[in-house]
Amino acid sequence: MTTSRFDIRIAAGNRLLVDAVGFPLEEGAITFLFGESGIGKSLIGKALFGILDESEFRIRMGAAPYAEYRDSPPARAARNGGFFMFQEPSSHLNPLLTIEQQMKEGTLAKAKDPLAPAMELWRDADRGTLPLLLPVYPRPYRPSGGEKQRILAAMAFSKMDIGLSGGADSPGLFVFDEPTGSLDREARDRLLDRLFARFRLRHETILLVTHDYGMISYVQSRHRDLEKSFRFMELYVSGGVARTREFDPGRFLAWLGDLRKEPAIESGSPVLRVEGEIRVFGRVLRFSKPGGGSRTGPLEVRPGELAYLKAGSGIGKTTVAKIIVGLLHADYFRFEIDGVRLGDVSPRSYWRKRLWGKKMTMAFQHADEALNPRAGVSDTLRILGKRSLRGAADIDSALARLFDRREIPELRGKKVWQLSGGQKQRLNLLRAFALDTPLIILDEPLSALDFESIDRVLGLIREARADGRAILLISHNEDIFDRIVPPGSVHVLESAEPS
Amino acid sequence: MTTRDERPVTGRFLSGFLAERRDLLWGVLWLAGLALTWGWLGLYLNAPARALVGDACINTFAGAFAAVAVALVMGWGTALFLHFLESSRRRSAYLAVSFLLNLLRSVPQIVGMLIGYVVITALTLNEVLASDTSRILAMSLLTALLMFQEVVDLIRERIRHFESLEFVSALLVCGVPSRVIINREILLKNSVPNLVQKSVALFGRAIFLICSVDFIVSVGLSAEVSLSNLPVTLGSMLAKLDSKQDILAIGTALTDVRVIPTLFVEHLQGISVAFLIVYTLLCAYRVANGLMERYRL
Repeated sequence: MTTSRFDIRIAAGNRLLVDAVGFPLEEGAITFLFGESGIGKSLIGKALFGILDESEFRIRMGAAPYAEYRDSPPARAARNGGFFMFQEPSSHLNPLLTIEQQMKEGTLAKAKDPLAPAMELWRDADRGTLPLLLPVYPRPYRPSGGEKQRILAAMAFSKMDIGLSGGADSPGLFVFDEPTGSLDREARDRLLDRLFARFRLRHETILLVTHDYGMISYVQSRHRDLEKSFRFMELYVSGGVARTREFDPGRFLAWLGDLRKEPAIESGSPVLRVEGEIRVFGRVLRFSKPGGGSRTGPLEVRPGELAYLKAGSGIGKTTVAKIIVGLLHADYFRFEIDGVRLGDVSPRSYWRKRLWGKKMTMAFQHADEALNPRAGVSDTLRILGKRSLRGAADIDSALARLFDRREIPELRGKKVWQLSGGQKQRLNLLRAFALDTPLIILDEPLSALDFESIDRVLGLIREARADGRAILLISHNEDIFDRIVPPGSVHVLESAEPS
Repeated sequence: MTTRDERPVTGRFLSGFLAERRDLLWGVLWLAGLALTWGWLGLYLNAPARALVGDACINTFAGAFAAVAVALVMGWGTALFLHFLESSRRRSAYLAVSFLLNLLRSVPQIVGMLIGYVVITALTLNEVLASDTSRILAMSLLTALLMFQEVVDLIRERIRHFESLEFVSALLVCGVPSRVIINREILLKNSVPNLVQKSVALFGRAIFLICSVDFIVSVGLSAEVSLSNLPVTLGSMLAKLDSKQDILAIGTALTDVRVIPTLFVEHLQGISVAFLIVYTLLCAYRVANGLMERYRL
């Protein structure tokens, strides 16, 4: 195997964004690139694949100008035989072609059966939904984010299958940019299994860009035979510039091994109690316990409890959260929040007057969308109107809960749009934790975060629990939360057709 | 890797300025044009006529500026009131206010201005509007009344757009009141370029309306409506006999080129007034367009 080392420098205007010196891309190996969102991982992937827009960035690959690298025969061959799976599936898919047309478009038409890889990525029980998606023109809300990601991965696998059947001479470069961001663990594991199964048959060059550190434990336990083919790199920010370094997976595994179950909370009146079922969008959503079969019951979260709500991708976890916080109307629901009873006939003003910011709050899934991009970092906390967040010192100590003290003075003067994805996510979480509400709903709190930030967020959750606050958690990071949340606090959301 | 642009600093600044800040460029050009015209008039126009042009200029620009300010306040207030009626489901009141707004919108602006001038003249003759300042304010209020619906539309469109975004929902769930979200987060933090661009466009429109109507009224609509007691503006200056002769000289210059040099020294009153109107409208248009380009509105 040959290793090419690239000195990748990417600048926007006069600002150097990425300075990845000696980034190794080994032919026929799987390189994982971890790191916080929004600091430049995708830029590296696009630069290596030869698709970074030169009108937007100034790029150098070593001493050579970018065009020289992009147009070189090896880069062309790697691109022609490879595939780039974009991070945001909505922008990858063409809204003017159906899913089926796109799965058979261009070189993908050379595959024996371009639709077959998609079947591998759906659970047996859900395969019936795939044919329904094929004639769909992609829209922001359909197919769902998880379905789109699986469709894109299937396209990449089709391209790999072409290589397997002798359709490509040299290995291609396959860049998977956050391929599992919208997938639950089961779907993620299936995607990785299918990817590595193909890799075993033909060693393509794979760059897997992700902030899901949980992948490490999975590949180390289930794909140990490929250990020699794995390379782990990490992107981090130093002096305002993103740089790369080798990442030791053992460090993450040791940290994961040290995680301990939080004590179970079984007493006290529930802060949140969702009774029976929720009917919304023509579906019935019910709660059960893992392995509980058809036994359904109420969802209860007590003071100091971390309740973990699990479900497959697209079942409706975020929908349930939005119904609870009163942002989405359901046809039927009944619940009680800290003594306030609510149902589908309750007017929205009820939430506004009695619940929002007083009894409950929520940290939304996508920090990018949940924060006002034009607001300053301090304003984002100050707007909560809390007396304890008025002065600069108050803001600093609030920020210090999730940020390094050294970066706070610079951070305070920034607008939200100037932050990286991970910084936005931390600010998003801080805003929710800054309020003293008895109930906090966290929707994917670890998304976009690097390893150190994940550790700090878990600390923040622990503090909130110690203060007696109830937390309802929605997360795909089962590798982490399964080790923390006691079994009694895990709830499974199931979707059923109305009887 | 060098990340520096190799061009000279001045060239880089100017090309960047021209490419990205056309609004500022045209704003500066407008001020420079006014200063140049004023300097030229200082050299070649007699003092009483120059004072008249100066008064007309100040009255017109101050009137237009006040009209924009009033339109912004009225538009902001009305948009928030409509939003409140809509979100609190007071449907009848909402429909009634919307109907009134649409009724006002259906009146052609120039016709509305003429009708308003009848009222202003009547108030002036009855000495209700006794000073020039009160008359200018009345004219501004009238102009604003015919323009503020555009501000209402803009603000409501901004509120609607942002309400569909998740950050507004996130702020609501954090207990931040709607009025704070709308005024501070949506309008002040996310809509200032839109409001400035609209204000500049309205400034141009106000000048056009004031000048057009003043001109029409000055040449005479009826014996009942007269500008004899109203403050002088650029529009009414155009209708004055001296200015008319100056402008007719431009026509003469088209057939007799020897007249051209005299235009800039002997026919200054009318020509400079016409130039100030046209140049201001052009600059306002360019500034508004520049803002649209810069902020991708």
